Amino acid sequence: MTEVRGNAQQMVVPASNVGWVLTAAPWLVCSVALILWQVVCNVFSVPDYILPPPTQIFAVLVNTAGPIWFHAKWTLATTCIGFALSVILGLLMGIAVGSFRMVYAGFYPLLIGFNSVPKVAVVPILVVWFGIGAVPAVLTAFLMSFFPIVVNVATGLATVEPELEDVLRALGAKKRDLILKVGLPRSLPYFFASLKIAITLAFVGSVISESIASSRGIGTLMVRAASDFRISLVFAGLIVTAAMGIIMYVAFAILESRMTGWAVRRPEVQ
Amino acid sequence: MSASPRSLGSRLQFRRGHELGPHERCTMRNGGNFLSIRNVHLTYGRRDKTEALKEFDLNVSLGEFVAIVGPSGCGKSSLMKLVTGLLLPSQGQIKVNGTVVDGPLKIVGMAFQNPTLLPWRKVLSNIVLPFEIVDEHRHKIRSQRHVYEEKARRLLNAVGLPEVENRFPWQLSGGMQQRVSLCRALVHEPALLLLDEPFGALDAFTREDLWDVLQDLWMKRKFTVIFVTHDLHEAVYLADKIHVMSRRPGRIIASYDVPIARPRREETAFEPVFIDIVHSLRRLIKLEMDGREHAGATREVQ
Amino acid sequence: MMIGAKSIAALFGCLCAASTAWAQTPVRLVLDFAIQGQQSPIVLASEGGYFQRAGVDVRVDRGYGSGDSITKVASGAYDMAFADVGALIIFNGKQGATKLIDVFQIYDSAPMVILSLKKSKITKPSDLAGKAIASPPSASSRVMFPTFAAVNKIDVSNIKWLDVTPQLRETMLKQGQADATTALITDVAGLNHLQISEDEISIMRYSDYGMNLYGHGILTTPEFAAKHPDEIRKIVRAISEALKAAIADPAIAVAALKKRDPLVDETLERRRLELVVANAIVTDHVRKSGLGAVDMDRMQKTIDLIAATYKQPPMKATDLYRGDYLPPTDESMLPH
Repeated sequence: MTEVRGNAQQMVVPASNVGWVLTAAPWLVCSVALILWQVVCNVFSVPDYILPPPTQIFAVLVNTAGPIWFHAKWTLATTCIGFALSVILGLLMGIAVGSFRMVYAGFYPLLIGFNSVPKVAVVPILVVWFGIGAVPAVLTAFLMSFFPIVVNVATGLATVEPELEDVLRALGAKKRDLILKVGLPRSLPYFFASLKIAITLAFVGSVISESIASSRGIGTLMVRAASDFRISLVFAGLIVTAAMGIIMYVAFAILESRMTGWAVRRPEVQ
Repeated sequence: MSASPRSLGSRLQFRRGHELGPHERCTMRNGGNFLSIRNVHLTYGRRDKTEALKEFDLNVSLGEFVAIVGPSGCGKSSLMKLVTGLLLPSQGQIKVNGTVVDGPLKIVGMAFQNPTLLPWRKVLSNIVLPFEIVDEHRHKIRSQRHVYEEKARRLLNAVGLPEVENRFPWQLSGGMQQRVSLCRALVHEPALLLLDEPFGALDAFTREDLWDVLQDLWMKRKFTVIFVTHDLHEAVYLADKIHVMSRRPGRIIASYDVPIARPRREETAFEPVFIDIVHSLRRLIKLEMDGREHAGATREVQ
Repeated sequence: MMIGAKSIAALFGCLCAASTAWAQTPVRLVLDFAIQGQQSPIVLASEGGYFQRAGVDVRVDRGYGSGDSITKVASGAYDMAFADVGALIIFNGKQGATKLIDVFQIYDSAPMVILSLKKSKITKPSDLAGKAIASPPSASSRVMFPTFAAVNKIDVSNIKWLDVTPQLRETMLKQGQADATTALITDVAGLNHLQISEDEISIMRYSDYGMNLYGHGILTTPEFAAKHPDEIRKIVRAISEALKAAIADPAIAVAALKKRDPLVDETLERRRLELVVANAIVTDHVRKSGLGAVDMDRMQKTIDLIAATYKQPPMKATDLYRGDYLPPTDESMLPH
């Protein structure tokens, strides 16, 4: 028998046309939105301290590129460090919670409570404890992105089929073997899916922390710009933050598809 | 041809060393029983105690191919767990090769209805998995992986899948996956193979194909098999001996020899001996399912 | 039950009344910041019934910095603001138009200060060079800092700015994370609250160093003023009376605060009120000329100084400040 199922042609896409449209779609939507925005600003003569037009924002982006990039780098750095922390600790915690009933019972309610606390309220405390600087930003980024990773990894681990466990345990597999050989690989799709969400949350955390207490970062830039009535600079900061978030999201989406193609039955990339 | 008239339509007693055809059988060690289950009770559940097995006795000789049939819910799967040592009996004793089973056995291979192959590993890597776990081999596998992979390849050839080693499980059909699952169950050369309705999810043609695959493997490698199924044809086709379980709480209520020569082929299923045994089994099980006491039911004695 | 003709007529009448009674829509007034002691006179005007007696309906909300409040009035989200006129001058300058006007000058002297712990040895403006200063970016004292620095020739190149939300400002100072902070005189009360006594605090008043500026006032848009001149007069009068009452007896104002927010710390807010009254509101000029009296020369000087720092063409003081809404002088005079 040589029948084979699940080959690459299964999702029948007619021609390369559709693929091209799909890739261009978000850019089209963005462009239309920007054009609409510009028109509205011009037609209704919206004052620029309420809603600056895209042309003005773009001009500010170009003119203040240096300082913007300086602050953006800082935010990127704190976000990535905080995110790295939550990946490592989130993975460990997720494994612990997903593999051991006691850990689940003891820690999960705490984790939920923890996650429900708005981080805006936590930042001032962090600043008092650790001082203004990178630490509150890193910690806030960590606190915001930690929970989704834990939940997803734990879920992935909890869904191992009992028969598979039986097969391996009958061979003498210990809990460690089951986690490493079955649990972890199985939870990888869930893990990578959570990374996309976690990175954007980490960004939010960093920027929130900066807008409350900091001396550097996009959040700081935006607050200062607002106090100077330079609203177009505020918007420029927003756009830069959004752009960074999108880039990170896409990066992790690509990583996800590379590492876990098997989960969606995609044949390996040759 | 080697059917004994007395075996038709009657319950049989366990007999030692009975001939099954031209192929040699291994002689038995340790007093004859490779697997011995004696007066086992199994209850589980914390609050509503469910009695899965009660007064359960079973003996299996080395190299024997044994089938277990019975009404659904009779505790066949619990039996599997007991034999492998994944569960311990509430009462009674299970011995394998003379030693009491008090934990996972490590010399068994198991296959279920669900092939449970790891979707992130290629076929070859899936088959080699037991070597990564079994104590004897797990330290050697890194340095001698090619040796183990060769064993896996030989098995793949034996089951008729020489070219799939680099595919992923989801690229194979159900029948092919089940063959791979069998390979995985046998790759570490276990003495005991436990199969829990492995072909239950497959279509009739695939199933019959796999009967032959299993039969060939068994004839070549001569491991002991306990095969749980609800398909009576399957049981008679494959097994030397068929044990019938009662409703829950389960115990063996009858055993049938299958004195049909090997290798058995498609035509064997139409022989009168075959059909008679199937009929007897069916009648017995139906009685069990209807809940009536079968006439003069006694447990088997050695 | 059939809806009778009488009920329909009554309903219709109500609708008509509602649509024509524009006086029923409350005037929305936004404060400069959270509702503390220094905002209590305005709260008193609301909670103490002064607005009601004057025949106006005013809704008073907290703010998030003078700059933000000014923007909110300019955008139409609010009708009036209690905010720093210096911030307004910058705003108008940036917009190149008189977006808001000042109708009632409350702080005769902007009570902006640099606070530091005595042990940091910051006694004069030039000492601030190279220091770490904690400050909310939208605080009026921070917004006015460039002007302060220009007037006093401070080398700002090495100053490390720590942007914080207002509630962290005092903590930064106490912990030593910041050497100084730009603040209002009322923030001394906050430091006291953190167990820092008066003699540990070093206060550098902007007004002592060439920044004799006008401070907070009641601001509104020219359009709103043109449409509702009577209302503005009534509001200004009500606030003026409440202010007089608060100056005479701070306890009443604090009580009004407490009525609005039961969680206020009365001692702390009373101290804040007394500080702002003594330092910003009741100056010699006010004692002589009454609450809200403005010296137009000085107002023009304030505008010129700020405009110079931001390289904007200075606007005319008469465009910025309109004195026609004040109650008669004899009502504005404080008792001696």
